[in-house]
Amino acid sequence: MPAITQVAPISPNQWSRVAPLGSVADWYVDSLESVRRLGNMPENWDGYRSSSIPVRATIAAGYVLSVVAEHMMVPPHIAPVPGGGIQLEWDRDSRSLELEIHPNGHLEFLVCEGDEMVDGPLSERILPYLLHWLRTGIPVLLTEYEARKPSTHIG
Amino acid sequence: MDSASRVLPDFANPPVVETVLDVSFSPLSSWGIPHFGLFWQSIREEYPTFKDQPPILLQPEYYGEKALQPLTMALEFMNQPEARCWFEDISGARLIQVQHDRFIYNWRKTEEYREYPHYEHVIRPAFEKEWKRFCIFLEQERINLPEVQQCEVQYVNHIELSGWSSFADLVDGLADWPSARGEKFLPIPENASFNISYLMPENAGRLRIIMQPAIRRFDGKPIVQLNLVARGRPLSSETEDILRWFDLGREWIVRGFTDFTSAKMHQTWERIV
Repeated sequence: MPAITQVAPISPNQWSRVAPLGSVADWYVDSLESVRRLGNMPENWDGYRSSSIPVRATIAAGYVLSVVAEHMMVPPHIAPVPGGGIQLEWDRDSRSLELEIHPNGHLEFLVCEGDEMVDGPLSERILPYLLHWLRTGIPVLLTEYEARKPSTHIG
Repeated sequence: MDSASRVLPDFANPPVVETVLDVSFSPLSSWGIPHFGLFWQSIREEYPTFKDQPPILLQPEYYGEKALQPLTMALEFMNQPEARCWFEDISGARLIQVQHDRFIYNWRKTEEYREYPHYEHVIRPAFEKEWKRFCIFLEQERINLPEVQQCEVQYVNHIELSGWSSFADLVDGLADWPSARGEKFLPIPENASFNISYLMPENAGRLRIIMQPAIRRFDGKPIVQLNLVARGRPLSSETEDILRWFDLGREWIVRGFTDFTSAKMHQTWERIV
């Protein structure tokens, strides 16, 4: 009879990053497809001479989506931005979160609650706090952002 | 003849994207936060980037009766820093991870370095060099040398969804699973995950094969991630014994990978030996 041994998870010492299917939100794969479609849009996609969306932006968007999907958030609204960027947006109660991926791959966030708005550069360290705030409404202190603007709180 | 010098199966174009050589040891009693910085100083020219990471807990391999005991939760009071530091090299292909009870050396495939640098010629000597440098640093800081508890070798393979159409094409033996070819009531499996373990003779360690469909983060591509992880305890904490255990673990991984995957995929990966 085979021994029933403890089943250990994959060791977390791995460097290359993947989002295992089953541990991410169901909408994740569909959202990647949406981003791919945006990446295939031609020049002048909006009739106002906007550039097409470069691969660098679609890769960055895919990466952000993989992090968001691990937090089991609801799907974002995904839209192209004039100039060749991508915007991911969520609204919940009176709160909204926008993540903008610029054509050069740089990332920024904008959070709004009522009349209050805070924006700044987005990093992987900040993102979980933003998602937690969006989900719960519990104010969070953005320590990275705080370093530059000591009085800023979200919520 | 030791396991390092035996002829093992070899592939010209294997799907491996990362290898990990990991040494766990008893917590270094006098290791403190400043030592992360001091150690970084000693390797900074080659590893200029650092990142903070949460620490990894030891997953000890148990054998016999102990392996059958249910998992229990333990509370541990820590007096060492709960931190792990990543030190990345300039190429983005090599990484050293350090915490108060662990030293890990990673190699990964990058756009620039796409070819797998073979274990014997590159990865093993590189680990040996970095491990010895770490031990010299500990000696200089008058920290006792590590008492090794466990070694781990891991190969991470990313198999893209081309060149095969069902999991029976990928994994040897799956052809006999229900409807592996869609000939019965059930259709061809849409997805499959495995976590299989194999005990090495004389409780020398354990090989785990973990297959998981996933999305690769850097390019958003759907893949099957196939991890082969060999863990066990070396005979002693001497560098030669650590390397000897890595050789054994790596042999199990290479032979295990060859047994586990199908001849059809071996052609895709250009099997040489």
